[in-house]
Parts: sequence; structure tokens; C-alpha cells
Amino acid sequence: MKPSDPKELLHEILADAELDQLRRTSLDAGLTVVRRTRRQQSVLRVSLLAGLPVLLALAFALAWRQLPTAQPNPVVAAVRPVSPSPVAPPAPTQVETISDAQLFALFSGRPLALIGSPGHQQALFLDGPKQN
Amino acid sequence: MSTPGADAAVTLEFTRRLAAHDEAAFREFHARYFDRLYQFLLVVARGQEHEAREALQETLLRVARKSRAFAEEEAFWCWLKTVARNAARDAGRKHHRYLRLLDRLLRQRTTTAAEHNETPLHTLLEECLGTLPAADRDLVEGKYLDGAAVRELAAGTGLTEKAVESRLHRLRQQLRASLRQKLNEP
Repeated sequence: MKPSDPKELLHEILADAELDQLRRTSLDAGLTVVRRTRRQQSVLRVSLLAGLPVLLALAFALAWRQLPTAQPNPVVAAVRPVSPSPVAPPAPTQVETISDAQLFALFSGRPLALIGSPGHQQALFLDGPKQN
Repeated sequence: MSTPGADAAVTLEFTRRLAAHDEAAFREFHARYFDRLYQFLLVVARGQEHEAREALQETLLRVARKSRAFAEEEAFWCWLKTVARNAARDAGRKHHRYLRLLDRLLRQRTTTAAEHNETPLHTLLEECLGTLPAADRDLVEGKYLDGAAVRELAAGTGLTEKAVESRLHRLRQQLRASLRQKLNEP
């Protein structure tokens, strides 16, 4: 046999109407798959692009809502004038428990009675509200 | 004249477009690889045309669905052969479960041959041509290997053009049958 490329011969030998039909149908089927896959990818890409701003807006809204409680307003801090004498923080309120006698001593000039059961007593001024 | 680097760039560009589901790239792929894949699958299916065609259709669909970029044509062809072999195996599973073991053993033999020689059909074709009478062989070689026109062949053989065409048709059928028989041989 002569040393040549027998591609065409092979093609002619193997070709028939059925193979020609397969050639056409497989091309059509392949192109359909290619188009469908590309369309699906486009939809996915558009969905991602459209969803990204929404997600960013949501994240920004959440962050904005938490901003005032989470940290002090930096603008206000910047414009506040510096006080020459620093103001001492108010002392924490302390409640002192006193006895009945100490209570009467506090209002020694006024008629005062304690009514109610022990532990739930109320002070009652018998001369009415004092006018200052 | 193209250099290996330029060829690689062309292959890379082509396979990238194919992987990106470009219609023109798929048309180009189909035109370039349809026959080559069919011949490969014909060997894998041991001459069973129906199985080879079914596997070919599935192979082309798999490539359309999912392909990859390759820098070299050889690597791309190796990948295509793997896809085709898998498609043939899957089709074989569907239709011939009871012959699976035998099929695998035989396929192993033919697949190995296919991997060592890209187109073992060419070798088998040479063997088939060798069995033809000298006059018939000259006619086929003159037409397909030397590229002679039917008119020239008719003048050389003293036959009419119609007779030459008819004889070539008969010889093609004969070669096809011989080829199938050889592919089916254990």
C-alpha cells in the first residue's frame, strides 16, 4: 500500500445515510446544550450581580442601626470644647437606712406618725403639706 | 508555517472558547472531531456501528455540556478519548449487562491498541486493502490515496466513468465489511 493518508478513504467507507443524519442531529443537539448552558450561566451571573447590591444594602442598614449604641458619635466628640477643670463624675447614690427615732428626730418640729405594719410603714405628717 | 508555540496558542484559544460554550467553537469542534471520534469509538466498540454511534452522540453531548481548556492538541485529544471511552462504557452497561465482563476484557485489548496507535483503523484498512485483487486495489488507491479523478481512472482502466464509480462503490462496501470483521475478531 502506498504511504499516504487514508483519511478520505476511511471516511468514504464508513459514511452512510445514517451517519450523515447522526452528524446533523448531534450538531443540533450539541448546539442546543451549548445555548442552554450559556443561558443558565447568564441568568446565574445576572442574579448574582442583582443580589449583591441588595445584600450590601442590608448589611449597611444593619450596621447603621447598631452604630449609635455601639460607639460614641465621633463628630460630637470632636467639636466639644475642652473644659479647663474636669468635671468630677457624680458620686453613686447611696441609700442609708435610719431608725424610727432618727426619722422623728429629723422632723422634730412637726407632728408625725408612722402607720402600717413593721417593714411597710409610711410616714404621715399630721399638720398637712408644709408651705415654703 | 506554524510553530509549536503558535499551535499551542491556537489550541488554547479554541478549547477556551469551547469551555465557555461558544457556538462557533462547538461547530468547529464538531467538524474537526466527529469522524476522528467515530473511528476511535468504532475500535472501542469492536466494529459495532450502532454502539459506536450511540457512544459518539453521548460523547459530543458531554463535550457540549462540559469542556476544559488545553494548551496542547494532544492533551485535548487524550481527554476526548477518555470522555468517549466512558460514554461507550456507560452505553455498554445499559444495553449489554450480561456481556460486561467479556466486554471489559476485550475492550482492554482494543483500548490499549487505540492508545498506542491513534488510529488503528488505518492499520486494519491497510490489511483489508492487501486482501483485494491487484486491479481493485489500484483503483481504490488511485482514487483515494493518489487523488486521481474518476475520468482519469476510467481512461487508465478502459472502463466508463459510471462503471468506475459503481466498482468503487462495491469496493467500499467490501472494505467496510472486511473492516467490521477484523474489528470483531478476538
